[in-house]
Amino acid sequence: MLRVDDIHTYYGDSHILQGVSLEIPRAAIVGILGRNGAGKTTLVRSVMGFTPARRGRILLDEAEITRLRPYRIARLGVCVVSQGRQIFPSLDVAETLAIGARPNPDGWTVEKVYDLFPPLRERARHPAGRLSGGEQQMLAIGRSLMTNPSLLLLDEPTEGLSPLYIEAVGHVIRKLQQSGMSMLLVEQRLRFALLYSDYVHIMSRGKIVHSSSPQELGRDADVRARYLGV
Amino acid sequence: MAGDYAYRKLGWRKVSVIAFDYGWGHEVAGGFQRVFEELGGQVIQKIWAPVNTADFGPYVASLKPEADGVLDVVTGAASIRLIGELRKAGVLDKKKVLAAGTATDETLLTALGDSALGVLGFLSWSQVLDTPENKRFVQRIKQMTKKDYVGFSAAINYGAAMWIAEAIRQVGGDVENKDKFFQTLRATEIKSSPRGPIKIDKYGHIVQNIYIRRVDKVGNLYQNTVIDTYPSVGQFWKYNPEEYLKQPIYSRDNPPCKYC
Amino acid sequence: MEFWVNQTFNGISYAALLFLLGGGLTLIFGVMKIVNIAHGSFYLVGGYLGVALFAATGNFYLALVGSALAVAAGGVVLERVFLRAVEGDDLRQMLLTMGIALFVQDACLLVWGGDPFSLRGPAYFAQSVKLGGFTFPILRLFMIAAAGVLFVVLWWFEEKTRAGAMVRAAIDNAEMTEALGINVPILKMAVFGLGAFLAGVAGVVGSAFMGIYPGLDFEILPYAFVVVIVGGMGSLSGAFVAALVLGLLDNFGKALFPEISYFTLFAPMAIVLAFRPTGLFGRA
Repeated sequence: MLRVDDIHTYYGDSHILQGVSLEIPRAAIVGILGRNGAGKTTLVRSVMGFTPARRGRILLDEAEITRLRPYRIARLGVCVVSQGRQIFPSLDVAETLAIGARPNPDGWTVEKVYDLFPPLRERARHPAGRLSGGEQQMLAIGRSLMTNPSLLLLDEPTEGLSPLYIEAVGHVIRKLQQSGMSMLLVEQRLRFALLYSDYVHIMSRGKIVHSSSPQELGRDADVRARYLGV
Repeated sequence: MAGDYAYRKLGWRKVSVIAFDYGWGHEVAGGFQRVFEELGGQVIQKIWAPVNTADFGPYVASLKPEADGVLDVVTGAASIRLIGELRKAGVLDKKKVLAAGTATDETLLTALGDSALGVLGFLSWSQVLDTPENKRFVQRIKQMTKKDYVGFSAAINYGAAMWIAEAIRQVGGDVENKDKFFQTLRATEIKSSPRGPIKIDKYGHIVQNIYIRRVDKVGNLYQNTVIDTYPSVGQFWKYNPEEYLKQPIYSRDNPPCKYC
Repeated sequence: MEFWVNQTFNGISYAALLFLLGGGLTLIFGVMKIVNIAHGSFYLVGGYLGVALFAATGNFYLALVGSALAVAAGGVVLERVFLRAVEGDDLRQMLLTMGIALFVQDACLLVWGGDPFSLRGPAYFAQSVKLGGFTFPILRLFMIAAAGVLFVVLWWFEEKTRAGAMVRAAIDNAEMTEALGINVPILKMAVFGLGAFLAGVAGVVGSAFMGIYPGLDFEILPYAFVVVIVGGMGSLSGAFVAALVLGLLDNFGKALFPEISYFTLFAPMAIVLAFRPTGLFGRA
């Protein structure tokens, strides 16, 4: 599905990603763990095209997307649920869902999103900025689903959510995976990542320093202590 | 002399003044008010408009209806706005407007168009001033610029250059002798410049004819028709220079607006 | 009574011009996040083209639409060719618009010379209608109508259509909007063109109202800034309300307290900035 091949990404002169490679098979969830500043969000931004990699290649279904503009990457079936949710405060819920809609015969519709997140239906005409944190996260996920992506990049989807909402997000992730969607799951919550990922990578200082199955990482207290401090 | 013309020839007794809020506007409006009120007239309203006034609507709408006429001391592109507004608001249909001459400068006439028809002005020159010198001058400038209209600046600066050239001729080109040259310059009189005879007073200020002009349309072109002449007007009008110079300079509040 | 009716009417018509001027600037600021110094140039070129087109065709409305479309096309080229080249660098983009403004200023002087022009428009622009004992100049009525219609159409577009929601989303968060597959570059170009169109309309209407001459581009720019700052950067409704408030304040300020003429526009701006730095309708 997605192949990231030795990419190097810079912010101005600072060399953030220093040769990152990974693969996401179809309908798989790949977890990315690491401390703050490890380069996790930069990885997401590189794949989405926000901050294109200067060296290396990113392939989506064998087609190179490394330096395409974000909207072209999005139209090829990639979408992002950004860190901090990035809600549009001047749009209401229904408008937010409508603007990115890319209809697909048996894909996502506004109704299906409302079925998945019933609170959004009640708030359809509320300005998005006035929703609670949990509702905003539902909207951020719903908005991405409306583009009918085949690959979803989730950047800390549980950040700042109450346990109830965290469980709900996990439930949705499972459901999406069952429908055949691939996901890149960036997480700070180790337990959440281990629970839902099929494979996990740990990043540190712009490099992947550990790759294993979640079960292995769960058993390897040494690696966890060294890179995650837990 | 504008105050004199307004009182004696136009028969105005009450006047509204709208003038640019800086030295030139204060001077012209102040001189007008002094002469006009000494003759017995009353300035009943003085409006100081900022130089870059974009919309004269509020000023024009607040002109007092009882005034016999309006003194307009606004120039440049703003003059197009003010006169246009005076026309649109119907003021020009009811009363006359006397303008500081460059308000209807020849270079503005096209832009002013019909709105300025009938506006009176006082200035030391007009493109259609009927003298052989002026006709020759206007024709030569037109040949150079290929335009229908010749501006006031061209005419007065041409006159100034004539004056300097005449002084140079009189000293036989010996301008290095500065004292002699400036003495000659002060004494030089030009009998026939485009704007008529010119000389300078002992304070270094020009003495020249002031023409009363009216905007008319002749054929397709507009012009400032000369309808009256005040010959040899100096900076002190009829006042004694010594006493005049003791007065404080004209400003927003001097002379005060006694009848406002 | 007549005083209040006349002055209110004058204030509203002046507000119409302020809105046309500031509306375009606020739209451009919203999506581009830059202050377009060339906005006055759009106005100037719009005005000169309007005068030329009117002289050629004798039809004011043709001159209005033709000139505004030409300015819009110029804006699109400016955005596509120049601003796009330094995308992501706000400071360079702003300096570029400054350079363009200086260039256009000289180019206009070269083409149209230094004498002021005034766009006469149809004969009835110089006339007035009498209503209930009050006199309303037709040109001012036209200005109000033009600004009113454009505001309603633009407001409807921005608030009620899907494309308008995309524009608002791009104003809120351009990156996230693009990640939804929306072609933000085209959107920016279109909005830039629309802003230029409004400035072109303002130029044509303005040249009929107050004439057009070299240097006017930088003379009117502060007026556009005031509207945008008071209204809130990027907010069309804000620009509309701000223009109305400022037009009336300026008018009554000048009429009732002529000695404070210099402050009637800029004092409200200072006050708004002090108490609400994001403007009346601004987003934080």
